[in-house]
Amino acid sequence: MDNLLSLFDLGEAEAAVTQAARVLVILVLAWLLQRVASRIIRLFHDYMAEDRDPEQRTRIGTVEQVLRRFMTVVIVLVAGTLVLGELGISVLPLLATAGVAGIVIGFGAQSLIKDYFNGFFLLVEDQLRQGDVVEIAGRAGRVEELTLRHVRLRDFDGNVYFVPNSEVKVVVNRTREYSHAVADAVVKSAQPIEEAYAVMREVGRVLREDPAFGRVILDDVEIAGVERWEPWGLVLRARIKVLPRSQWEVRREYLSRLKAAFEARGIQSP
Amino acid sequence: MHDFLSYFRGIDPDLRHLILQALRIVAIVVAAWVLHALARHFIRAFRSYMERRVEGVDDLARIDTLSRVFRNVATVVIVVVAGMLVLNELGISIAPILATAGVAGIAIGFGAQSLIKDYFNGMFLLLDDQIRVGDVVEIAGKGGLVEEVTLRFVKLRDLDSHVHFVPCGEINVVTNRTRTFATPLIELRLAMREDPDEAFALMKEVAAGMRAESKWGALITDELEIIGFDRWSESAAVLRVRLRVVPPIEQWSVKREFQKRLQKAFAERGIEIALPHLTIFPGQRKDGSAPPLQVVARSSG
Repeated sequence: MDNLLSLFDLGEAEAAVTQAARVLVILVLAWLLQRVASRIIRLFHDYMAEDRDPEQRTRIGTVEQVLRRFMTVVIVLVAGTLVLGELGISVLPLLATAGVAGIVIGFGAQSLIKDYFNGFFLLVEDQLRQGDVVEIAGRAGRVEELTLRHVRLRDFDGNVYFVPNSEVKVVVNRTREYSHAVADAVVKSAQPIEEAYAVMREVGRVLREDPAFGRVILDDVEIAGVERWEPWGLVLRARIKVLPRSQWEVRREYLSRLKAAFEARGIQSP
Repeated sequence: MHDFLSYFRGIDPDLRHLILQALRIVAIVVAAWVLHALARHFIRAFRSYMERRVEGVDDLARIDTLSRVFRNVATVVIVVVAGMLVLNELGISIAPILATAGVAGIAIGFGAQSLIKDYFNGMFLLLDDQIRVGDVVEIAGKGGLVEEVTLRFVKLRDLDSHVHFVPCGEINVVTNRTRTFATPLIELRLAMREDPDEAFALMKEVAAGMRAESKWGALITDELEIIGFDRWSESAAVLRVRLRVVPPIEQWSVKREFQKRLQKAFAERGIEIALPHLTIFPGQRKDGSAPPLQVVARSSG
């Protein structure tokens, strides 16, 4: 070591030692930052993953991985640039290239970045889940797959929609906590309405007693009343509170039974 | 080592500087070369990962294109950066070059915005596997059979044989009508006097008849699904049923054949498909002196 030092004059040696110390400090700081960031991300993950179903957990895991990688890349890049600068290599060309690339990619990938941000918030706010029946961006269907970039829906016809998360603005979720089966029955305008209501209540009661439907029906029929006056008759509206995802099935069964009951009681439909 | 260092110290300072410069340039070139090799390795790994995920010759061709584009971009970026570093080492000021490149970059970025968006979107359409050649899709308001997918556009041909070129950047929501299976929905209006259950039984019979034939049986994978009495409409009960068709591209031919047979079966059984029922009311004075004339129109069959 003495030999080596004696080779240089003292000023050079001092400079070299300071340089080495600075590089070391940068590396240590980077390592610390990486540790802290990693810890924060893990805390975030644990907080998010509480009370979630397995499918959502997988997605939260994905988010965690993406964040972690992003963090590592940023820290390594910044530390690397600092070290290069410390070693006397000009980082200007690197920064300039990165700047231009950033602008170009930023312009082109604008909506893509929006996709990821929106996807992240959809996940955090728990607006959609796999299996829900939703309406987003004017398309309705059952959610088949959720990713950070898009939502895949399948509608009743079997059409598959890929909706980018940036297009998702208002979310209509038709299967949250409970649903209502809304049934519109039509009778001729001269019919006794009170009697029709009685039949509607009665059919609802029988439906609720049926074991096949009773387990999804949560409440008695609620008669909303005369909904509107059409040229061909009066539209009478009733609704039944049901478990989510069974509203359509219950409505159809109710309407079909109601039609038979109206015929049996002589209440005329147009 | 000692000898070498003392020799190094002994040489002329100018020469020493020159040697150091040369060494630095060599280091830059070597670093660039290593980086390039790494980039190539990653791109190759990405390519084989993607190739395992997709099927079909044209997807493979697109992945080929994609990895070629990536490779070229990586090469250009590394060569440009290394070149500038070398120029800087040689003492040539690179500030003007950087400024020009920055301005050009922004200008190109603005002008080529939609082009860049096309490529990005095209890349993700490929990665997400949203569109394949031979699918029937609806994108950017245009529907048709996909004839070609590139990183920049999707070529569709509709039923009139109009060809639509849709740039990938214009694609937001993709409606794919032929993914794995299709469930064509058949909705029909039944006269109120008819019994829906009878109609459903007949529809089931027609579907079963189709499934018994080898031509249609191969396409219809499941029994007719009775959705039910959907809603009460003007003089009609609206009934819904669904078929399940694989491969999904056959859904339209199956649906049309089913509807044709249904019409025949209904006519044979005398089940009425809802005709508008009309109550004619001639009107009366307020004191009720003109008795209303009520006419009920019914089909004679």
